[in-house]
Amino acid sequence: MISPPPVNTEILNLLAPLLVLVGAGLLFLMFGAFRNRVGTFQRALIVILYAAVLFYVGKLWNAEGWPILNGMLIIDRFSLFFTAVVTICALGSVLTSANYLDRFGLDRSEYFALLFFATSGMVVLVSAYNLISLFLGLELMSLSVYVLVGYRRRDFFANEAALKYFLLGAFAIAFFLYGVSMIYGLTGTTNFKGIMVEATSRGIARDPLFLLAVALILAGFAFKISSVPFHMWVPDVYQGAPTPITSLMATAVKAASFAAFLRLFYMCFMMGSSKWSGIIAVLAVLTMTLGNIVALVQRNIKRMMAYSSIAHAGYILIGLASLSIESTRAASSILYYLLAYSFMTIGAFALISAVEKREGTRGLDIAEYAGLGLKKPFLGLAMAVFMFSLAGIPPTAGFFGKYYIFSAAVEGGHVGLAIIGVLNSALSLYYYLRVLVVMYMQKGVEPLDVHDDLGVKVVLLVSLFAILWLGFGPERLLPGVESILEWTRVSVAKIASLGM
Amino acid sequence: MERLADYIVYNLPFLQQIPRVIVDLIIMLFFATCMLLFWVALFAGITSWVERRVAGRIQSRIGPNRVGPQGFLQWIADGLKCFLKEDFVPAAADKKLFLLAPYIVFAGMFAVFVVVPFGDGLIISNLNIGIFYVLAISSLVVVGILMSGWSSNNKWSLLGGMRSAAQIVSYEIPVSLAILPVILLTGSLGMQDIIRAQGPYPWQWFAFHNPFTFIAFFIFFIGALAEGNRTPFDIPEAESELVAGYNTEYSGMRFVFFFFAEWANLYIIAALTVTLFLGGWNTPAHLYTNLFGLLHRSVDVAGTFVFILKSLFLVFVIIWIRWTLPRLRVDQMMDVCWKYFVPFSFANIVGTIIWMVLADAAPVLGYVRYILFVVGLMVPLAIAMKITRNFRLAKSEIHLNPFI
Amino acid sequence: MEAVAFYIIAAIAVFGALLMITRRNPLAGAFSLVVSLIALAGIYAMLRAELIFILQILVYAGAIMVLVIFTIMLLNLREEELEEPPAGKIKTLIILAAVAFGCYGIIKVLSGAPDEVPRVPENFGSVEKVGELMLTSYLYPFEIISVVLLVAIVGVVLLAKKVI
Repeated sequence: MISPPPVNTEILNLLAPLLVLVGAGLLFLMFGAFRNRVGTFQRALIVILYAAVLFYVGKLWNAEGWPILNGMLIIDRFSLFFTAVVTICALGSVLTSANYLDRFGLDRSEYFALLFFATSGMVVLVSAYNLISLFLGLELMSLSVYVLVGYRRRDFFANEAALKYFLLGAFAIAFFLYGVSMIYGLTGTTNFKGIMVEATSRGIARDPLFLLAVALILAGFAFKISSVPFHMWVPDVYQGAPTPITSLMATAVKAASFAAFLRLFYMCFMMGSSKWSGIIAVLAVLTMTLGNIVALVQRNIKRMMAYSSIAHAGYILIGLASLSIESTRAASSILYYLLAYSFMTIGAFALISAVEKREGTRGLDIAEYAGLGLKKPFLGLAMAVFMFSLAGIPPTAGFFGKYYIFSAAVEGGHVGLAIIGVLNSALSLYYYLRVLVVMYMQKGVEPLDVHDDLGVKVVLLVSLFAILWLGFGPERLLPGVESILEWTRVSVAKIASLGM
Repeated sequence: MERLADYIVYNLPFLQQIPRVIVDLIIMLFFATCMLLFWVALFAGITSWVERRVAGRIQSRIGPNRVGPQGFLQWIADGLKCFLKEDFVPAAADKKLFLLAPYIVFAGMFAVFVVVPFGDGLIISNLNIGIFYVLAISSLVVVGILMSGWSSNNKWSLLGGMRSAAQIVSYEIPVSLAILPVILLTGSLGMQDIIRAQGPYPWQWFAFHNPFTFIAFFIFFIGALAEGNRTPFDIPEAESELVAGYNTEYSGMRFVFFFFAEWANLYIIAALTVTLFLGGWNTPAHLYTNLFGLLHRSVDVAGTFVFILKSLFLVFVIIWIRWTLPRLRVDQMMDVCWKYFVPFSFANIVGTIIWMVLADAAPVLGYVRYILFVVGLMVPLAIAMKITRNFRLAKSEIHLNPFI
Repeated sequence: MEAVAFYIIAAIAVFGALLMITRRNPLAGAFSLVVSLIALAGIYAMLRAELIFILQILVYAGAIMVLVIFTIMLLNLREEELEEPPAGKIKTLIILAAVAFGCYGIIKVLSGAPDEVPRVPENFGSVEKVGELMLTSYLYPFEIISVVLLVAIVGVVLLAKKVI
């Protein structure tokens, strides 16, 4: 049963989160024209604006999920869920930024404007229903993040990071576009539904050119989600970027890319062909194994987190590999995992940014965390929870995320994948716990200089709470995991039904 | 063109045996060749003489006056000389690109003539993207200039080529933006449509349509001068700094090709300005074609005559500017472009849109064009008065008689 | 007749692209790319997509390539600074890929033309039609592109400015 597309004012309503974000970006560009530094008022405004986005997400939650504006985008629960996720990640990044930017002399309103634009790019990306808007969202997000990565222009590492990310990102986007052009040539449409219909009805799915196109698109996404073999840029870029931006890249960028990846593959390419799950499974194994093994020997905490984020991308790819049409289990486990992963990574990076220094060793060496656990008990506790969660130890959110993903893999018949995943997370325990060992068991040589201002503390507290809340099992906290899973199940089912 | 081709095929039955596309192509080539030989070549040649004579008069000297009456045949002599010269390629040059560059520059300029509307129906191809085509094709010229500058392997050529590229690429923006108000008012990109949208009387021209197009007219004209590397923006070929800029190493026919392109461009600037802002071939006589009936063709001829006359006058103005004003510095030139022209042209576009909306509501605004026309008239009048005064002040030293 | 013209133009485009990746000198490569791009514009013109044809020339051949050439000239690479030409292996790979694509194309062509050739609608590719599409069907991408370009401009200014 098809209901008529919404009328104009309704479209504006549906676009409200995006409009708020773009408008906020423009507003902060205007602020930059009059005043360089960002005052308390502006900072409060940023938080209010992001909160407004979350408010609109909540308001639209029950909206009809129909493609709008000629099928260019769709505002359904799936996209709203991810809009909320990227907004929360961006908010975390903003709260972490305040003190960090002051310390590094980077406090400019363009920074926040670009952050808003990056977030709006992610919103475009997660709500894309057409390859064109998907591409534009990807581009808007990437362009803003390229600039933000190179924001510390006097810094050698930042320059290296920005250049690497930009050049490789441009290549990846070119791959993606090449794939898109082939898809368009084969099916004559860029609309997801149109592609799906064409691909299934005319046997295009078996055309070698179609397979090549999908492989190219896969390569484009693999770059954005930092999957092997497109992971080379990750450690350098994560290290060189300002830490709040690293946190954004590890969480929001990844979540948004995964969202688009999931929707596109689930709707257009998965149907009728199981080849992709094989390829994605191989990618998943390579990605998590490489990420975990290389992370073992890292001394720089940002590089360690970079490899850890590669490894987590691998776990999520397991979920993608075990997607199936019949069950939404795998898809909802991905959603859950991304939410959980975002919270723990934001928290960890907030703490890293608080310890980071401008000069000398920059406070990035894991050895410099010695003694932190005892001197700053709250920070120590928070970091411990984040690391436990990242390693996947119950009762944290990380554990349940992995549990859902692996059980979905088993359900989808990928037992081998699940076993490799479990082995990998055992491996990862070593380097996550090493941070805790240094923090609690070793004595610090230098006096610790930790800048945990209000923003950082709020981020730590919220992510701590969220991890535990998400983690304490569906039985004990009813509105917790189960309802999220239920929501996401509904929304994923909705996508599947909508395409028909 | 199509009508003409139809006519020819209809009257020459043997042509009907050949596929129509080939016939069209041949007719097109034929007319293009005619255009090249009898208009562009002639025009470029004669302009070279006119320019030197005008320069001579402005600088109180005589100029070429030996070959033919008043030196009129000087351009033929120069052309012959260049024909007979050695076609020299420097040893260190990149030979292929060096040899190719002049043709690209020339072809780019010449291709613009395809859409120059000489009269009602007298246009090689009335493309519906007319003015856009001009912008695109003339931007190709830069590639040729860069090619010549780089392949000569000479620092002056290289500097000239780079300056030229920077200049053309930057001035393309205000020029395109200055065209936009006209397109907004016309609702079409076609050259003939633009001319038809302007009335036959001078105060109906787009230059006087509203204050914004009035400004756009000046921005376009000055920007086009810069795009054509004309003084006061002739930095790419500044003789005192760069020998001759990107064409330093060229000699013989290839050198002539560059100058061909430059003088052809002179005419293009003038013709485009006339088309966009000064009414094109429209004359009051076009209002009465129905009345005269049989004289329809002669009205067309009159229109063509008016068009050419107007553009030749502008050509004269450009030459006049060249020999009167000093050259700008590179940074000044860029300042003018980016800090003044670009923002002003943006404001012009917005202003024109607002004006169009307002003019719908308040027809009184239509009278503004008369005021602007008077203001526009004042400018040449003021200049003329100043010149007369200058002449009077410097009585004996200036030879007013141009024919010596 | 049209097919012949198409194959000639397409051959020029491919030839230009090949030259572009095989030339050792970056400037020669850039000029070959210009040739390829203009040939591409020719194909657009043959499809009666006039506006796209003009935009292709204006934007790619006229503006982007000029900037590319400009940058290469500013860098002013000498012959000895250039990298070694790609090794034999890569060349073989490229040739193999080209052959594979060629075979695929031949098979496609031999396996017969598509059942129905879509009719080109009235005004196809004209300024009016493209403009109309941009403000109706493609309104959303059109607006998003403006934000993308704004971000690009702001980003460039931010990264190129002397002091933050």
